[in-house]
Amino acid sequence: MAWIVKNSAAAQIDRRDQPYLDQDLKTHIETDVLPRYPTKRAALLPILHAVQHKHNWIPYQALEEVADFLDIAPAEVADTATFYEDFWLQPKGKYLIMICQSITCELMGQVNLLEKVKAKLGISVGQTTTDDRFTLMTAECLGSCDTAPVALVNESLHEKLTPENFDRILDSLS
Amino acid sequence: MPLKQPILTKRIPTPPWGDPADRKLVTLDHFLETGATTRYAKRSSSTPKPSSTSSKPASCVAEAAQGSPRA
Amino acid sequence: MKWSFLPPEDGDRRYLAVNADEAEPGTFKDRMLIDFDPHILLEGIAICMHACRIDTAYIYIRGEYHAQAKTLQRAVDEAYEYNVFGKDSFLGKINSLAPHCYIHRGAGAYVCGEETALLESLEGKRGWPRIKPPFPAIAGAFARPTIINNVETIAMVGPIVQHGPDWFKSMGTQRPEDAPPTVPASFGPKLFGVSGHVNRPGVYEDELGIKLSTLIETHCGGMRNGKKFKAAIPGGIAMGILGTDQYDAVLDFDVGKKYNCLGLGTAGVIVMDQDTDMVAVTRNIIRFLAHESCGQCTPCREGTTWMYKTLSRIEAGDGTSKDLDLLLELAGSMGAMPGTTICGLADGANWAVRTILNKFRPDFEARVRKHRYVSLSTAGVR
Repeated sequence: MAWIVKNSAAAQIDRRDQPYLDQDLKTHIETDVLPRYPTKRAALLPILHAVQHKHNWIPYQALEEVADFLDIAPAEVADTATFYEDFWLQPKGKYLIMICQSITCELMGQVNLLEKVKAKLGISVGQTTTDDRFTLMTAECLGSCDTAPVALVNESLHEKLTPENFDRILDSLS
Repeated sequence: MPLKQPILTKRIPTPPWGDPADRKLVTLDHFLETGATTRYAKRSSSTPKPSSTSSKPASCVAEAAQGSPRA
Repeated sequence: MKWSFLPPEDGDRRYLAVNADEAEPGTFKDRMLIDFDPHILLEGIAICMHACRIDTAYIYIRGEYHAQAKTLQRAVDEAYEYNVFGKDSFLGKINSLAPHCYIHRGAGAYVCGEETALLESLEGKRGWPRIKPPFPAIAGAFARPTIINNVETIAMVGPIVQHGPDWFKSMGTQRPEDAPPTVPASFGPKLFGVSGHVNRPGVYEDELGIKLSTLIETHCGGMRNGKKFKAAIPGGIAMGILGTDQYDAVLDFDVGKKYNCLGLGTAGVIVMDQDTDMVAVTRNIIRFLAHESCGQCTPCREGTTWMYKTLSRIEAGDGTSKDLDLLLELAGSMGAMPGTTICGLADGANWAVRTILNKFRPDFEARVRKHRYVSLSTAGVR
């Protein structure tokens, strides 16, 4: 839910000396991203995608660095980053499993699938396995209702799932 | 009154005109041969110089900019 | 057409935003177009840019469409190489700028499919719908005139330009001569995405005005496992529902008035068979909308969450008959049509709950206890 906020007044920000927004990313942003938009802030979504792609999640320190780089307030960056569910502001596992829970998938047996996956991984929705390999989430409609139920594992979509064939897919991931 | 021939799905096999299993990505060349409007399609014949030299890859948006890996 | 709202040229920049933020449950037609025929979309974009003197087009594709974003990016690169866009574009200079087409990925917010929320998201802000007016055609992205169209609409531009408007108008249902002006005309072909309990779910292209029964029996090979038809959602979950006796409903833009639901929406038809639990269906729909509410307007943010709690309670068997009236009362008070919210997301919840409750009330009544007295705490007041 995009509008749920946390008490951040007493939050500690983990920092490290090495910047998250390194020279590679900066060059990429300057040459490829910024020329595409008339304002700097508009480049925020592509930049956050790029940071997340590189680090697997977006640490708060990175938000500050992005704000600094774009000459906007850190609060503005946090404002945008917290709204979108695809941006992970806490670490996630190597594989992000998103099982679609919208209406067609539910009609076609998503509940059973989700229960089986939970039992297999030993975690519930929103948690990460102790070895940091899998994070389990439910997703809203993934736009593949004709092949329901579906799940997104990182960037690949798996269709027409049954507990058995999804089991095999998960086993095949290293 | 049912449609006599597919329009938007002209190049995408969809029942009753085709089998979804035959679907594949339509490339630009195939698109130009099979249905582009005249002006769009004529472009290739009236280009004086090879189009590949006049467009620098750098001016195209990079895929990685979208946060997705190349290829 | 939306294009005619644009103000006259003033030589400054204008934008086209293509809405590929297809997140409505039951809708997957745009994904199919992008997956297999991205150039039909790019051609439509080029024509639109030429016709409306637009220099920059953004394709706003949802964050979950990873593969589609890559496919589209490759197609855009091909188009750049073919000089559709870029500095040597055959469109020439528009507003003294080279025409460009960029892909902008969203990041998992359903509400960004609303046109003004999409613009906010394009500007790098949270996807909060704006209050209209000003309409996007006057002041849209970056406060410049902007056209926003869906993928299917833009893809249709090429064929219309090629064959002419009369050809387009020869398809679909004609408006009766004596019809009042409120009856919309339904021209052209439409992509119907059928999913749920049918034998062959998928995208089918046919004329507007096709009967639901034809769609299910001819195109989709009938109901799965020979079960009986119970209900269908005509176009994405926010559009209400067609009841068991509306199996022969004519699907065109007038579907809402004729069959007491909101409209055709995205034409993503979800079919349900006789064993479907309507309480669970409603709960799922409201859960989705409660989850995706952006939280800007109170009736939507609180109303959807409250409805979800009430429906979960009914599903668990703890509901009372008064809950049903509570749901109807809540539904009637939220949405852009009662005038309490900015965008139409709450209208979706409103119509979904009202139409399902009206058409399948016995299903709900069988699940609730007939208590005359309801304590405040059971009613959700804490």
